[in-house]
Amino acid sequence: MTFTWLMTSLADATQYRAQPSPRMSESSGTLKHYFVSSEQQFDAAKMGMWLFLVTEVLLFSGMFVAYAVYRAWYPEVFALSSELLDWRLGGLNTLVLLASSFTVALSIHFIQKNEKEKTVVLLLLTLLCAAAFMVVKYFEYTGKWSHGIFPGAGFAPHDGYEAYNIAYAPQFFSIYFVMTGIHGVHVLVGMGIFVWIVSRVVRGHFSAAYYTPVELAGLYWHLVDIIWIFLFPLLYLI
Amino acid sequence: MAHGSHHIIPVRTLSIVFGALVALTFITVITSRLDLGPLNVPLALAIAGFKAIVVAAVFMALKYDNPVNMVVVSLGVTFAVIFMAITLSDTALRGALGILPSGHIPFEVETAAHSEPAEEAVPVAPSPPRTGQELYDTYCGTCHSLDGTVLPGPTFQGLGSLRTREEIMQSVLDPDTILVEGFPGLLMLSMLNALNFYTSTSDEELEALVTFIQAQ
Repeated sequence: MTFTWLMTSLADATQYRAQPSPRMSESSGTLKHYFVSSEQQFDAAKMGMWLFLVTEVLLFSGMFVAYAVYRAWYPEVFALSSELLDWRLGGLNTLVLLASSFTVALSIHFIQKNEKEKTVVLLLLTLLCAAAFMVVKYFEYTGKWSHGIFPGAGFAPHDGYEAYNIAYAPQFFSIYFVMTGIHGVHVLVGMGIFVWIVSRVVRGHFSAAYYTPVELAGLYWHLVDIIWIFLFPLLYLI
Repeated sequence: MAHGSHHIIPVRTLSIVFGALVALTFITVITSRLDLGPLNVPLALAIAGFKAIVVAAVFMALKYDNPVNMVVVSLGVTFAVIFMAITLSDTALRGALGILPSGHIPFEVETAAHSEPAEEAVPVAPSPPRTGQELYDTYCGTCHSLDGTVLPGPTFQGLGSLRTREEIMQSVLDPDTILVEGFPGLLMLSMLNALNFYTSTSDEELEALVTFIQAQ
């Protein structure tokens, strides 16, 4: 109850000055009756998305804390274990994700200008980058698994990796697989969202007057990028 | 355009930001190859933090957005920082009161603490004393083989003819005084500390372990 009240108050307080204005979205039926204007509806949706992103930040912060504690306890083990991660592949994936964030930002620029063909092309490029990221991740994971580098109790390095079978190395790789794994799930979810968004752009659902879902999907995708910006140096470049 | 939340960010601005992010990624990789001592981690985190702020400000349009979204994000990040700071201050300062040994709390202490007063919670050598073979299996075997296999540490095979008893004892008590070329220092001491070797092993057991190693 309190939470709902807070949400409504925040939305009201920030949007009080917004005046109802006749816009295309209102005539095309995207405005819900409980909003004063499509401006207010847009801003409320956006703040809801930011609140969701905060819960995502807190989800990942738990894993970052686990990383920090174990690294503070066993710095030598973390330094030695991270030698097994290829910084070139991690760096490539960083560039790929940055490029995908760039194309998403551009796609929003062009939907705001009603240039829908460019929006579609840029969103397809984003999907391509996301797929490239997952392919690189696939080769990284299978490369580890073929040498017995598994998270937790399954950790049993062999085929030239015997020297890395030291105490607390399994903890490093548990943290590595869980953090990059949950991040990877977010990339997959993002790909699904963008497939849906692209199909809706093609079907003519969005325009300069109404593009809220494109904007919100973009916010989600940028957060996934930001998480990787921290994961790359912490896991690959110790 | 009356309303800030529909600000259209120019392609030129977006391109400059993308270029800066790529450049910062290369700078992160290059600086990580340099040995800056204790500065490596803070520098990498500072660059990552700056990249995150740039993405949030421009790509996520926080800079042009309704300020309430900035408040929401700042609150979230603040709580994440509190979470990190309090947890690290706990784990880093454990043992500072002198009641428990430093480092993480070993399982023996946790169970002992339920039945005994805190002063007696320090791990003690179990009786009867463990044999050299048992001590080797517990503390040494992960890194030192007996059959010449290369592990993170040098093999014990033939060690009895290479080193005197005093040298072996010295290497157990203070691992970094004699280093074999090609093997890392520091690792063994931190491993043994992590396993509570020095606090849980009696003098009698130490002698048994050295005898076992010397016989290889």
